[in-house]
Amino acid sequence: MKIKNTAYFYLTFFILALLLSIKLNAQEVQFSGFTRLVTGASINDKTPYEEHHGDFSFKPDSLIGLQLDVPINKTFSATAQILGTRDKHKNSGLEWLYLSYTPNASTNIKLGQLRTSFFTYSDVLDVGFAYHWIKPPEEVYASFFFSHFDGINLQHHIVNKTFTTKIEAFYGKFNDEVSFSDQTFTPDVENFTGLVLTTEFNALSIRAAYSQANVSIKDDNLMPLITTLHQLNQSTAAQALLIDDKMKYYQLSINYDAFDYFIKTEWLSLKHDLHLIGEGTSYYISTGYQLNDYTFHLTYADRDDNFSRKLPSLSLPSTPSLKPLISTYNGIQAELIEADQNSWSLGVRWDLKSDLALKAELKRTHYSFTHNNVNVLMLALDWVF
Amino acid sequence: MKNFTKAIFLFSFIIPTSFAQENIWVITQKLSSEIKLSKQEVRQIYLGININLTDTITSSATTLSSSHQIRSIFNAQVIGLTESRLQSYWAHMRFSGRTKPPKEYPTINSLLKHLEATKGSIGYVPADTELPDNLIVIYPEN
Repeated sequence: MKIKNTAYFYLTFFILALLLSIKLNAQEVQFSGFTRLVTGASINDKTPYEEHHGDFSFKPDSLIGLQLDVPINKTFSATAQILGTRDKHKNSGLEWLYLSYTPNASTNIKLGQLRTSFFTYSDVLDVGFAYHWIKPPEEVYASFFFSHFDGINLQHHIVNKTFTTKIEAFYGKFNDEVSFSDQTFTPDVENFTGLVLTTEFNALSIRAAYSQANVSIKDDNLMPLITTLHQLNQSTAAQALLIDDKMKYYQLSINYDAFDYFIKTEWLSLKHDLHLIGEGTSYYISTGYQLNDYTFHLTYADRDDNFSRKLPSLSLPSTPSLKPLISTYNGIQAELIEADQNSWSLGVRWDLKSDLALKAELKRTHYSFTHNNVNVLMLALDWVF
Repeated sequence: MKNFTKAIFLFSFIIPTSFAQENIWVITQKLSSEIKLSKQEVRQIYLGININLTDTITSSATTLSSSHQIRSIFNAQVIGLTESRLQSYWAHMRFSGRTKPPKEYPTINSLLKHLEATKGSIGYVPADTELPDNLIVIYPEN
């Protein structure tokens, strides 16, 4: 379990708020939570899907989250949410810890450690009960690589007779461990800024979001090579190996939620000037129909990665002493694989009770680079309390 | 394709039509000025976005318990979502720190008593329900 130093500040603040609330008034402290058991296995071939092999392990995606909401007075409240998981791509610990200020019916300001809201479901990615899939399509949602940030979030609603507009803006930073492509990094994310506009007209909802951040990732494996390239006056090549740039996310989603059926689409584009991380666009379209307590759904998702910036050539003589360095440098370009993929998934969600859902999903993913198809059967039990 | 279209049309309208037989009134306490809400406004209030009913009074939704048949009718006619999809929506709202579901009352009488005593609270009852003197219908508009 990893809790950052900055979290102690918020934790202290939260405990003070809690004590204050108990002392000042007797408003009810609310305790709630969510948990999920997820298992799955690749079928018809031996290729593992994420962490799921042929053994239907529950380890990778099963988790539990606990949330405490403390009303302080009519306008202030405090919230904490902790997560426990054995997924190696996630950290157990504090996901939310914030103070909320609601000055009027249409405005809310949160300050503290907050969940990111790049996409429609990114702030509830761990709460399986909140969506119909077992996991939102990875073609879109795997692009998202940090789940929370320290900062401020402002939400404002405008409701009129025919439509509702929701405006959300946020600003903050992130400095914690993340796992990506089986490696753990500690990115330094500064000036994380975003604007989300959502318009709802009866069953139709359109969400457009823009987020940007200055992202700096220090890859210890590359640092000796970068240092050597600098010493050999190959600064352009050395700079190209650094991950230090502004990343920009563009998101658009259109959802139609009718009484017993829905159509949901979401499109994402990631832009930056980095050489070692691919840019790309991805989208999904998902439709579902509800019959009594069963929701049957079908989803197509696609991801198109693009390494448009090739690493600059080295202007070094191919001497025996430099050959290993040149070979290592050229090998990096060869390892930059465009992870294009698409998938079809067919699933059913059975709402056993108002707080309990059982899900089954069959998913076929095509990986363009390996020309490989992986079929996966997954089962999940989602519970909120 | 023709059959598919027919099936979609049929499935889309069977359940709402069966619920549409009983009309719903959305009610609140008498306010200083006359107010009528559109379906969009009522829907938003019941999805957790409160609005100013007057300069000083803000809406606050109350609902019947999930086993109550009138709630199913209200879900179909006004909110336009099934109960299970509403529960899924509330999980999203609650665990993303946005808003919380309306307070539930087991019977229409207990709901009416709460509305009589609480300014800005909004509830729903079957149309033509005999209302206490200080409660008025704010939806439908006509």
